Amino acid sequence: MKLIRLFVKAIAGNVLGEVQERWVDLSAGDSGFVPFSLINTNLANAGVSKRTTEWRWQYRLNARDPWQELRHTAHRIYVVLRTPTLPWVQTAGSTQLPWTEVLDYACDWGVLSGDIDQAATKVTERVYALGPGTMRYDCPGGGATHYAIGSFDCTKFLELLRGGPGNGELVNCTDCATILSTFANILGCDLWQSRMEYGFQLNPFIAVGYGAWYPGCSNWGGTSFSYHEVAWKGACTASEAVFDACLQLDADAAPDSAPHSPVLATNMVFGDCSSLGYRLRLSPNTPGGCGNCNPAPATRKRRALI
Amino acid sequence: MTSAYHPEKWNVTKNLFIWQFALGGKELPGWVLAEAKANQHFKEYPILEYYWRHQEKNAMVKIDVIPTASWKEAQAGFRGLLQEHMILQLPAVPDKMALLGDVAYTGPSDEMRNMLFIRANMIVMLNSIGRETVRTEQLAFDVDNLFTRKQHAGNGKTRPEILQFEAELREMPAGRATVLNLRAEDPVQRPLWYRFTTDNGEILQENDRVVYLAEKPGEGKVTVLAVNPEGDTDEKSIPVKVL
Repeated sequence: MKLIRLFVKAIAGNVLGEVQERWVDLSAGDSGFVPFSLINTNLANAGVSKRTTEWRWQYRLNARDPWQELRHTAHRIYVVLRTPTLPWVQTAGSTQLPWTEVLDYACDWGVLSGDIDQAATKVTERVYALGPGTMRYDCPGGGATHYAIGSFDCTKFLELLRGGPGNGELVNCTDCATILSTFANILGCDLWQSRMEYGFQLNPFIAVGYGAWYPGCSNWGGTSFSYHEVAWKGACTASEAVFDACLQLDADAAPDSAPHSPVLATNMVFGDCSSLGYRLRLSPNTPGGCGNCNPAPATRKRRALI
Repeated sequence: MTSAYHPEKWNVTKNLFIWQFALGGKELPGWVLAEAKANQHFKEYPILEYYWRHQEKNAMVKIDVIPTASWKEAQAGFRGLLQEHMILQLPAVPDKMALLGDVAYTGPSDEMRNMLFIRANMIVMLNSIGRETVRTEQLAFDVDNLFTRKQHAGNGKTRPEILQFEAELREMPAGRATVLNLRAEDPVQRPLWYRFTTDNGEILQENDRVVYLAEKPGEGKVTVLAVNPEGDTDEKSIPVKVL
């Protein structure tokens, strides 16, 4: 039996660093899977990103032989901050394993984020920026859920992102919270979809896909939400922070009146009716307002993907 | 907040029950069924999602059908669906559409681009989702008519055939339920759906079986219509005596 010695060398200047050369025994004809060690990696400092790494494989039979070209291979590398959290799982064969197309978008949206709050903030901004053009708030239909009524129809949402019909351009807060948290969690964030309830007056805001300030939708004949849903940290209580890709709030000291200064709620503590947190920026401290806008942590969930 | 919709005032169709419903693709003139799927759900109910593309316009309508086990479940599910809207209360459809469903709502715009209604045990939602917005009220009536109107029998060679239809009890006291046994087949094994009606009582599903619930003493009958994807039908009736 002839021992075939093979060096493999990878040439790459990228987050994966270099592939350390090693001997591979091909005397049996097929080596099976062989692990290679990566050296000088830059994954820890790369931040959220997606990259294509090309490796140039070479071999030689003896240490003094010149290297021979073997082949080139290309590898898509997604750099995320932590292991994706639910609804994403790491179970072989599961449909909830991270979807590469979601990674494609999420890594673009959260590019170069170095921590999970920054990543969730960037994803919030990019989801909100999908309107107008790709999606807009469902003022015509009364704020119905179109992508996440049960499970998250991520297949249809991706179709929408690719320019197809999906389930249409209209979305509501449940859709936005689900999109935001699902795309952020694939980067390693740890956000829930959770609601505040029930039947509360609104301050003026700019809904996704719109350009004007209004407390709700001008065609609704009222200025209240029955409920609202956001991406929420932790136990989804008043003391935890929310991310809201559905609407821009007024950032100034008087959110119930003009002039308005738009801000997206990113890592903003939900708060109470006496301090200017998310709650008081969304709903005025009037009868039927902030007092009715209560966290409903029993509603927190992470919708499975279909 | 559910009371804002006054469900106690909703109409009820107790004597109609739709079972194993499916759209076959030929029900809506001018529209082509582009996609059908059934992997979404609302609470414990599966949603049958149908994507219809207009033959001439750049328009698409999504029709979601949620079959439930009874008219009571449909009404409860419908209340839940209404609460999934961020608006405090959806407007009811205009008076000229009063015949749509047992109760029907639409969006707050005049576009009529979305519609929700129930008929008996069925919940239906329609949404215009294409680049060109279209009104959905006619499609809503078309779907409702599938539930309520008797379709033509069709060509003898393509018609489904009801091989067996009988009640386990032919006589029963009011308030008592009996199982309806049904066996039907399509000449080329296409899926069938069924429309049950009665003139005395209601029909519902219990543990995957269709049952007739007698209401008041007297003679009556239960009728079933089997429908295949072409819209061809077969019908059979059985008498029932409520003591």
